[in-house]
Amino acid sequence: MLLPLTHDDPIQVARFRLLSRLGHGGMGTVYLARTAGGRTVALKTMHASIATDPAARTRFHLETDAARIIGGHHGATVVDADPHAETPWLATEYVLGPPLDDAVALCGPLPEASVRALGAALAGALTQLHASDVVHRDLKPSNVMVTAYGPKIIDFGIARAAGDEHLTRTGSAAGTPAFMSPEQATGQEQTPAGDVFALAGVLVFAATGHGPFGTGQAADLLYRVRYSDPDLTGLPASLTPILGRCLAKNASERPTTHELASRLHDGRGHFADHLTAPLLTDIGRRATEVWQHPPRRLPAPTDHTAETAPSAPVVPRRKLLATGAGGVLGTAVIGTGLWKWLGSDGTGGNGKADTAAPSTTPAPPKGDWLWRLPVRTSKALVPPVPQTLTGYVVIVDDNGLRVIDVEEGGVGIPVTSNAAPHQCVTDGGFMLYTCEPPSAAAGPLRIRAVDIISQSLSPEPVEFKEFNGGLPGTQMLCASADVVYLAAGQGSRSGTGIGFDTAQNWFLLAVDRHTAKVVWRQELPERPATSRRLHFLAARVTGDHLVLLQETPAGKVVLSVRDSLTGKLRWEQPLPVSAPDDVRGMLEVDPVNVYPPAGPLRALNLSDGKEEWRLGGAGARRTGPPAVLSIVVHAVEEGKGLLAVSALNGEPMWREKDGRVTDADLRRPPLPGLEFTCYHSRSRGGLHSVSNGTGKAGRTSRTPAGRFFPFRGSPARIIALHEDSVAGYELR
Amino acid sequence: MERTRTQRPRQGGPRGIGPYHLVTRLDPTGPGFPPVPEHRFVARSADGERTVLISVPLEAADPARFLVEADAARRLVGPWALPVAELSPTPESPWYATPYLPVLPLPVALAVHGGPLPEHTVRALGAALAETLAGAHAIGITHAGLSPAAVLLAWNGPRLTCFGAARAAAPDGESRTGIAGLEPGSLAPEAAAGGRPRPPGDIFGLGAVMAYAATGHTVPDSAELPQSLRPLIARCLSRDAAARPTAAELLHALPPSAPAPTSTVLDSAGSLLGPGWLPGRVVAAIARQSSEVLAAEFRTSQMPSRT
Repeated sequence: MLLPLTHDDPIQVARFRLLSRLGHGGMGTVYLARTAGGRTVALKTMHASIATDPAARTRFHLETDAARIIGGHHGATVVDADPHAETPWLATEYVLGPPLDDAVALCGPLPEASVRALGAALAGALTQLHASDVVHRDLKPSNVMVTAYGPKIIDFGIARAAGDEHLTRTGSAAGTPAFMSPEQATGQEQTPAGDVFALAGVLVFAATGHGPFGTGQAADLLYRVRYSDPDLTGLPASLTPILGRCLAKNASERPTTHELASRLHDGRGHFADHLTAPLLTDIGRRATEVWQHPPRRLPAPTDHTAETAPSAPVVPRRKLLATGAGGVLGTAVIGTGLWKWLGSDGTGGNGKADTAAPSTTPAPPKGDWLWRLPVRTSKALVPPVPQTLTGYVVIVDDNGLRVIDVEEGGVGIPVTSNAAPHQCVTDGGFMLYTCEPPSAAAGPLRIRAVDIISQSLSPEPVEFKEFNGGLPGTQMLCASADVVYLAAGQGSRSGTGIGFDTAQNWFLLAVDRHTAKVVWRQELPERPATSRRLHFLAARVTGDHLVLLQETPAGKVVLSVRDSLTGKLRWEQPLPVSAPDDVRGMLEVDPVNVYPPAGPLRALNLSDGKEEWRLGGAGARRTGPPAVLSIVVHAVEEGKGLLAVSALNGEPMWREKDGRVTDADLRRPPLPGLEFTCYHSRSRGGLHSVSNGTGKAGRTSRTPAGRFFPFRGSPARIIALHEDSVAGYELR
Repeated sequence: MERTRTQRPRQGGPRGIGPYHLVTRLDPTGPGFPPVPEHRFVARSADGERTVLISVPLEAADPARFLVEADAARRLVGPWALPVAELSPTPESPWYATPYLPVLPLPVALAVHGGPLPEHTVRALGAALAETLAGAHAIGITHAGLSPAAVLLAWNGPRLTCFGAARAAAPDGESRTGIAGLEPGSLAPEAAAGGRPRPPGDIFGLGAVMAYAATGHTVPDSAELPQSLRPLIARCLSRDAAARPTAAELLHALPPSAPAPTSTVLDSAGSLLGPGWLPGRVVAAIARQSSEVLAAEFRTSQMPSRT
C-alpha cells in the first residue's frame, strides 16, 4: 500500500513534500505527501509528457472539478489542485479504507447488511452528483473506497458534465465494460440511469464477488451487457428484485437513485455497524499504518544497469502491473499470444547478435538500439508506418496490432485488432483508430476508437453500413479531435488484385466517432481491378487543413489540401515523384505551410498553395525530403550532409560541418531532435547525429539499414523499421 | 498545560509544548468522564514532519516526580505498552512524548460505542493488560497508574499509559485520596492510604478498568457485571491485597473457556485481539481521529519560532 519513493521521484511537488508512493499508472503517480504545516494528503500527479496534451489536461481539470463537486462526504476532500502546472497535480485527503475490489478480495463477498448500507450510501452520493449535473460514467469496485463512515467515490477520470460538448470533443472515454450500462456500451451518452446500472453491478460484485456480466474479453462483456440477463447467482434473494430492476436494459425502467437508496436501507445505525470484522480491521490497520511508515527512497540504479540497456525485449514491470490493475480485460488479451511472440523472439537474451557487426569487431558502443521486436510483413499491402501515441508507438504487421512502450519496448497496452497496416491511425495523443474488417468478404465499415487513457481496449466499433468494410483498399488516413479521415468504398470486392473494381465507388470520408455520422464525403477516382495501389500515400490534419498525398490511377503523386470541416478542395498540385512508394508516409506540415517531400526544398501555404519560399540560388543543391521541428526545416543536401533552414523564410540556419558526400542519402528525411538531428548513413554504418546549431558531428549509433521515423513526443526516440524488426533508438 | 501557558505567553500562533505545536486534545473533559492524571495532546513538530502524543502534568502536580515516572516508564515494555520516546530536557517545563498512533482513551471508546463494551472486548483488553503487568511485575516494576483513562485503545489492542501516576501524585506515606487526576475507584486502598504502590495494587486497578469497560463504572454494582466475569473482577477488586490474583493468573483466566485452537499461553492476549475485538463504531472513531490528524494543518506563517 505505502511504497517507497523511487530515486527519480521529485522531493517536492508544489508545496507538498513526498513521503511514499501510493500507486502508479499510465497517466501518472499518486503519492502520500505532506505540507509544511503538516497536513498529509494523497497527491495525484500527471506525467509531464502526458500533460503536454491539451485534452489530457482538460480531463485532469474536469476530474478536479468533479472531485470538488462530490466533496468530502461522498468523495475525497480536495485540498488543493493545479491543473495548469507543468506537472498537473491534485491533492486530496488520504482516504482510510480499501477500494471495494480489494475489500472483497481480502474479506470475501460482503453480507447483505453491508451491501445494503454500501448501496444506500452510494446511491446518496450519486444523487448529489446528478443534482450537480455530473454523471460519473465509470463507477466500478476499484473506484469505491470503503471507509468506516461510508463509501467514498474517487477517480473521476472520465466523469463529465452532462451534455458537456467540450469534453466530448477532447476525447471522452468509454468506461469499464464489466460495469458499463447497455447504452454506454453502444456508444450513447451515459445518463444518471446509466450510473444506476453501474451501481447495481458494483453491488452485485460486492455481494457475490462477481460482476453481473462476468469477466472475459471486452467484446464479450459488451455483448452480454447489451443482450444477456445479468447473472445474479449468489445474490441474497431479498436484493434480487431491486438490483434486477437497476440492471434493466431499458434505462427508463430503472429506479432513481433516491428510490434505490430508500429500498436498500432504512438508514438505521452507523455505517460501521454494518461492516464485517475483517473489513473494519483492515480500515483500522490502514488508519494506523500511515503513521508508522517512515519516508523511504530507493537508491538510484547503478551505472552497470544503464550500461546494459540494449538487451532482450522485456515487458516493463510497471506496465504489467498497470495491466493487472486493469483486471480481467488485460489478462485475457495477454493470454492470446502477445506473450508468445515476445517469447518467440529467437534472439533471446543475446538480442544484439544480428544487428551488431560481425563477431570479430568489438561490441557495439552504448547507444545502439534500446529495444527491438520482431516484425513480419509478408501479407502487408504497404510497408507499415509506426504511429505515435503518448508514450507508445503502434505498429501493425502480420502478427497484428501492437502498442509498444517506446521507452522500454515491451508490450505497453494489449489491444487486439484485425486491422491491416494501412488500417490503423492515431491522433498522436491518446486515441488509436482502427478499421476492423468484417469476417466475411462484405460487411459494414467498422471503425473502432481505442482510448489508451481509460484502457478501454476493445470498445464496440462504430458501424457505417453504406460502406463495405470488407474492401482491402479501405484506408485509414489520419485523425484529430474524434474525427477520423479515411478512404472507403461501396460495392463488392473484385476477385483480382487487392479487390478494386471500377464498379465500386470510392470516397474520401470524414467520420465522427461519437455521433457515428459521416461528416463529409468526397468522391475519389475509380481504381481498375488490376490496381494494387492504395489511394493515399500520406495524410496529415493541421488546424482546418487536411493535407493529402494522393496517388492517381496513373501512378502520379498529387499533393492536395482540403478544408477538414467540409472536405472542399483548397488546392492541389502534382509532385515530381518517380516511384510513389518513395514518399509513402512523408508529409511535413506546420500550422501554416506544407513542405513537400519531393522537388526543391520549399514551403507551400496551406490556404492557397502559394510558394512561400524555396531554397534559393542557382547553386542550390538537390535535397532529400524535409523534416520539420518547431520553426526549423531539416533536409539532407546532396553531397554535403545536413542542412537546416528557417521555416519562416527558407534562410539557411546552419549546415553540417565536414559533411561527407557518401553520407548523403537523399531518399529519407532526417530525424530532428531538440539537441541533435540524426540521419542514417550507410557509409558510417548507422544513425549519424549532428549537433543542432553548430553542425558538429556527434556520435553514430550502429544501426542496420531501414526506415527511420522520429517519435514525436517524449522520450526522444527514433523508431526504426528494419527488414524483420522494429527497434527504438535514443535520439541524441 | 496551564503551566506551559503561563511560562510562555501566547503570541498569536498555535500553542506549543517544547518543540511541538498542539493539534488537538486527546481527552474530552466534562461530567461523566473519569479524571486523567495528566494533560494529553496530539502535537506536531514545527517542520510538520513528526506527530506525537504528548503529556504534561496537571497544574498541581510535582514536575520532578512527573519526569521521574516518565523516565521510568521506558522500562515498561511489550506490545501493549506505549513507549516514552522523548522527555523534556528541562524540569521547568516537563513533558514526555511518544510517536503518534490513532488511539481512543477507554472512556471515549465507551462514549462512541454508546455504553459498556461487549464481554469479549473486556476479556481481550484485560488479557492484554494482564500480560503487560505480568512482564513488569516479573522484573520488579509496578505500574501504579492503572485507571480507565490510562488505557488507550488502538486498532490492534490497548496501550497502557500514565505510568506511575499514583507515585507522581503524592510521595509514599502521604494519603492519595482526593488528589486531582487520580480516579478513586481505580486506586487500591493500600495505595490510597499512602502505601508504596505494589503489584497487587496494579491488579486492583486492572479490575477497576475491566469493571469500567463492562459497565461504565469503576465501582460497579455486582449485578451490572457480566456473570462470567463477575467472580474474577470481584477478586481483583478485593480490599485485601493478598486475595487478589496475580497478573499471570489473570492472563490464564481471562480467555474464554473454549480458547481458539491456535491460542497458546504465549500469545493468549494477542489471540483475543483479532478482527472483531473492538466494536465497529470504536474502530470507526479511531479511523476518524487518524483522518482528522492527517488533515490538521498549521498556517506556517503563524508558527512561533522554536525556543
